[in-house]
Amino acid sequence: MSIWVNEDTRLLVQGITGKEGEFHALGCRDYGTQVVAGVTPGKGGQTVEGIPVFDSVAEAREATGCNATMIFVPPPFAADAIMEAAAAGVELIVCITEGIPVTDMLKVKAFMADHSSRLIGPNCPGVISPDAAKIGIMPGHIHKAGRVGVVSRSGTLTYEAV
Amino acid sequence: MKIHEYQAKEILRRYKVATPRGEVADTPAEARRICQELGGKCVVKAQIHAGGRGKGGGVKLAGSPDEAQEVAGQILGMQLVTPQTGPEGQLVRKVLVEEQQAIASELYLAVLLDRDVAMPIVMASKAGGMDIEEVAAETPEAIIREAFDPHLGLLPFQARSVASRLGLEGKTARKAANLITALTRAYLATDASLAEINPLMINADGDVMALDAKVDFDDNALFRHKDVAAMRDEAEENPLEVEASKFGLNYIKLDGTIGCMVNGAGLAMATMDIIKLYGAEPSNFLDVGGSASQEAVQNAFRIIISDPSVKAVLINIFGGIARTDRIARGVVAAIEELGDVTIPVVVRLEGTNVEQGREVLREAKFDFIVAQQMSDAAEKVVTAAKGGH
Repeated sequence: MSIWVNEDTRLLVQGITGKEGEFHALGCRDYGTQVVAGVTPGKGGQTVEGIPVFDSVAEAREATGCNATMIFVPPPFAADAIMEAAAAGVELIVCITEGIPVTDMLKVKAFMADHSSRLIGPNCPGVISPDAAKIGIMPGHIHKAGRVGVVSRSGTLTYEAV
Repeated sequence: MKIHEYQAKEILRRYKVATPRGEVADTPAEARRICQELGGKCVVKAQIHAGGRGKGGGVKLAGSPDEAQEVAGQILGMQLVTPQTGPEGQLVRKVLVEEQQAIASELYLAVLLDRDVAMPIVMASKAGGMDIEEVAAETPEAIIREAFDPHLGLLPFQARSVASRLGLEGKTARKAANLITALTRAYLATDASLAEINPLMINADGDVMALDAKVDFDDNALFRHKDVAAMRDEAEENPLEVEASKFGLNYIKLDGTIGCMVNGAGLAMATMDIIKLYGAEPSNFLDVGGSASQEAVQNAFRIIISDPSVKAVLINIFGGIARTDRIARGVVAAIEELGDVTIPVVVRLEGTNVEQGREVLREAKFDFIVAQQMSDAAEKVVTAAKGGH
């Protein structure tokens, strides 16, 4: 089944100490997603609204068993963040960041070929399973549970469609 | 980002791509001096971002320094019209003065990203100097493609293979292979999105040289190429697009009469489609960003209505995370700040707090036309643009 996100998803947020990262981490938690950890290099040991922050994805995975990550890292560092998550074995990687250089994504694509993680994005609103969990920046309340899956290349046009 | 031919050649020379000797000039007297230094004969080439300059009279030969001064005087300051500039043309502010070449044959060479294979490719053809899109349409088999790994770079055997398929032999083939490799290095090192040499010239001695050059860059990678970013020439860009880029707005000027402000590129394209469906044309594409902040909305509105061809504006915003009432306040603030907005403005808001948002619009001094659905909004704005408000 192609349902990537559910009640058992244990979400990590890379870039959680940034303004957008924090805002949307809490948005996902309010929707019902288990947000178990954050990562910002150099800020390990802090907490964001009760969510523990780690220096690396490997440490966060070791400590919390996170199986999905949502990335809000700025464009110059986003490709590295994706590859770090894949190297740590995080099963699902959702990259929200837009404006990543094309050559960086060519590296990511080659790197991902040798890893088993699934990458959604970059430059995407995320993934949501209505009434179960969301990883992303979409407004939760417009999505209703049902039997039709929607896959789209456009954020706001998806909001229009659902 | 686009740059001029003289700048592209400057970059390519750093990576050992051979180019004719030359220098850029912004006065006829300078052109004369450069021609003198080149030995008395030269070619004077208009520097604008659009292609097809030769066809519009922007490239001329000069047989003496006096003649170089004269033709530079004709080209500098002209509104050069080419198939890529539109009918109003583009003002020429600089010319490139280069030594003349004894051309034996002309080829086409480019490096670009092939999204189908997710790798950069070398693209080449024996039909140099021609529009490559025409060649691709008429004789697709005449186009040589060689994909290469961006991390390994173009391998020597691949460069030799391209040269051989271009029909080159011996010393010329070796020189061409070196130049092709140099072009791929320049492409990768500068985060270019296109590095094109058309024509690639071979002279009677078998030397290989970039007679023309065009390099475009990935805007998202400019943060790590300050030298390239410094080459931006805003005078070559649409002034409204330049203004919009300062505020992080994604704005593209189009030819119609309906100004559009939408959040999200996909919804913006759908909005343009529906305007066309109802019989009018959009005057622009504008994505204010998914979050549609008040500041972004204000600047976007000001830019849209500063375009004199706009007869009516359609604001179509789906407030997701950004609350609709806040977006409505941004729109009202923008109009009040501008003062004398006389064109009709149709607003269609949807999403979080939509009732409060519509209330804000109803209470505003400005007489908004409030629409419910996208189709309703498109119909209303097209009618309003025709004066049927």
